Parts: sequence; structure tokens; C-alpha cells
Amino acid sequence: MPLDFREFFDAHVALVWRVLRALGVPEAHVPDAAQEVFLVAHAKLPEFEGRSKLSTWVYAITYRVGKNARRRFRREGLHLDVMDVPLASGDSPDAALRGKRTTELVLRFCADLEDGMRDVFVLRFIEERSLAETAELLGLGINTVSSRVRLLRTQLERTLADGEHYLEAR
Amino acid sequence: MTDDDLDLDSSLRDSLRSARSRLEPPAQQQGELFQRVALALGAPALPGTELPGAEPGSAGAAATAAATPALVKALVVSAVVGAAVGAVALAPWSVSEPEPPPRARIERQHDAVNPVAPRMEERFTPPARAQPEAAPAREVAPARPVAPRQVEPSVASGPEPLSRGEELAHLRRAQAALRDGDAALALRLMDSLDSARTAGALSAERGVTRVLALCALGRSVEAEQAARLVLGQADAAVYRPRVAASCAKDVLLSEPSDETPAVRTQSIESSRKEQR
Repeated sequence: MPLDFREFFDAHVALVWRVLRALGVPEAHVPDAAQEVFLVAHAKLPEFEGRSKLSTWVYAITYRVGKNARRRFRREGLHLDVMDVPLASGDSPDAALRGKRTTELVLRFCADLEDGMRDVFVLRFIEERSLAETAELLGLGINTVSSRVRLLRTQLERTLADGEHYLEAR
Repeated sequence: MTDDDLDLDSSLRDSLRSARSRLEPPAQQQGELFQRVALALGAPALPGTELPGAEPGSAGAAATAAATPALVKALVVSAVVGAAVGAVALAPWSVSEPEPPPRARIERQHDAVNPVAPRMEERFTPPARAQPEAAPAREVAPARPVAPRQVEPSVASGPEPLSRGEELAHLRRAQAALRDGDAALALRLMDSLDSARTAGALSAERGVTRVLALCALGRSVEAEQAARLVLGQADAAVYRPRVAASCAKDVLLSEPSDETPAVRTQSIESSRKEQR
């Protein structure tokens, strides 16, 4: 089926950008890495045979580019703007503040994970990919991903329960 | 989340989704990224959304000039190498344009000369079946030159030259690579720029970038050759401090000058201090 590249770009740019950031590519290098993703996709798009979902295919390219980029730029560290989360509009002040703090905690939790755990967290918890798709994208067995998911869930719940102490300890 | 191994309560799920939205780019950055991709692919950029760094009013972002196939290929190759994507990036593909000539098809092969760079708005029609390739699965970077090449405005017939904005964008990408410690990528980008037709306005800047990349790679003899070319250009004075602070600094000592050797040495030393 013919695919317009602009449409393809518009449909996936948010996905590519947030996955690169969440995987640990420093923000200053995300544009370069995202450009790489789209150049690769542009070159390979005609080869896409539809055996998987297009979004899965884009995740696969983004994950490979992101993994290499974070390795190159590791020394610059990962910053996820955890202190710049705006208050949600429409909620009561208390609810908006709680939501803001929880979002900050989630981002900090993600930033603090080691790579193997973060990859699972990003795909499974943030991107809401299925267990099977996460395993396929990361080249891991279902059981491995499943056990990491359970561990991550426990750690995330503990982090959220610990709340302020966790952020202050950073 | 479709699997039942995650049974998150709704507030936590909302927080995860909120965190996800925090990681997305604002609309302006999305537009800038599309411009970058368009320029890298040699497609005309959209007016009114110039790349950061492109000079206002330059042909840069609004250029209709297409990058040469060599440049497009080099950029894609660098992307593919960087991404470690094992499959072939430049497999045969075809593009049909919506405007006359109707359904014009452009076949691009690994080494085919493509006189028209693809446009971003063209519609992609996957080939009926990609031809099996005997070539290695991964593209290799363009061979590095034996010696630095003089950067001159090209007057040969062929594809339209890169605009100054495009030249600047690629130069900055190379300089960013250099800052990030990827001198090999910086050098490949300089090679690809040298093989493209340009106005040549940035040739000294490109030359000194090449010098620094070669130094970073430990190729001091070639760096000195490149430095001589830089210093032979009209606006060389601007680049003396950077050359003086590089591995090619000795070129300044042998440079013809009215200064005495002592004065020249003093000049180099002061340049080094400025660099610090």
C-alpha cells in the first residue's frame, strides 16, 4: 500500500522522540538520533512487508538507534526534565499536585534504571507494548521479560510509596 | 497493556501516560526535525521553518536544490552504520511522483547515479519484490581520501549544488560529531561534502574541521596537508588559532611569512593561550 513519507513521519515522530529520550539518549542528541531513525526508515520502508505492525517496525529501528546513541553519549547522563512537569489543568489543586509529583517520580524512576530494566520499562510500562512484542523487540525470552516486569512493578510501587524520600535522596 | 501480568490501578496508569506525554517533542521541534530529515534526503524544505543555524534569507531551508546522490548516500550510510541496522539500507526502491511526468519512477541502486533526489512528499510504492542482493548486508562508509582535497566551487555540470544553508547544516553536524568524539563520522561528512557541489563559501571552515578530525584520528600527516590548504585560503587568518592549537601546528612554522621565526612562534603561543 502506498505510504506518504510525510504521513509516516507525522504518525511516528512522537513515538520515536519519546522512546529515544526514555531509553537514555541525552536530550541534546535526540534530534540527531531521531533523524537517524527516519533516514533508516526512509531507506528501508520499501522493504517493509507488513509481517509486523508498522509501529513495531518503527520501534525496532528506534530501539537499535537509541541503544547505540545512549552508548555513545553515556558520559552526558540522562536527564528527563523531572522537575519541569506542569500541573494538569481541570483537576483540583491537590489532585493536580499529586499527579505532577507522581509523574516526576515515574520519570525519575525510569532515569535511574539500568539499561536492561529500563528497556523493558519503556516498552512495557510507558509504551504499553504487549509482553510478546516487548520480548520480540528486545530479543529476550517471554519469561525473562515477564520476570523483569514483575520486578519493575514492585520497584515502581515501592518508589511511589516512598515518594518524597525517593526524590529527596536523589 | 493487554497482558494480564500488569494490573496497574488507574491512577498509576494515568501517571505513566502523563510521563509518556512529557517525553514527546513540542510541535516546533517536530517541524525542525522534519526539515532536517528533508534536507538530509535532498528534498526541498518547507518554507518558513528554517533549520536552526541556517542563515535567514539563505537558500537554506527553502532550497529546492537537491543533494547529490553521493551525499544522500553518505548520510544514509552514516545513519545506518550508526544505527547498526544490519539490513541493506539502500535496497532498490521506487518512487512515483504525483505530478507530471505521471508516475515517473526513479530506480535507485547502490551505485546508481540518481539525477533526481527523492522528495519527501513523493509517494512510496514498495517494489513488487526487492531484488536479492549479493552485496554485504551492511553498507560501508565512503572510502577516505588518500590526501585532503582542495575545496573549490564546482562548476561542472550535473546535479544542482548544495545551498549554503545545506552546506552549513552538514558542516555543523560534522562539528557536533567532532565535539562528541566521533571524528570518523565528522571526516565522512566532510568527505561527502567535498564530493558534492557547493558554493564553496565555507571551504576554510570545512578545511579546519577536516584538520581537527584528522588530528583526532591520529592522522597528523594528512592533517598537516589539510592545514596547508586552509592556510592558503583568503580568509585563513581567522583559522590560524585553531590550526595552531591542533596537531598540525607545525605547518604555521613553515608557512611563508614576513614575520621572523621568533615572532611566528610567539604568535602560535599566543594562539594557544587564546584557545585555552
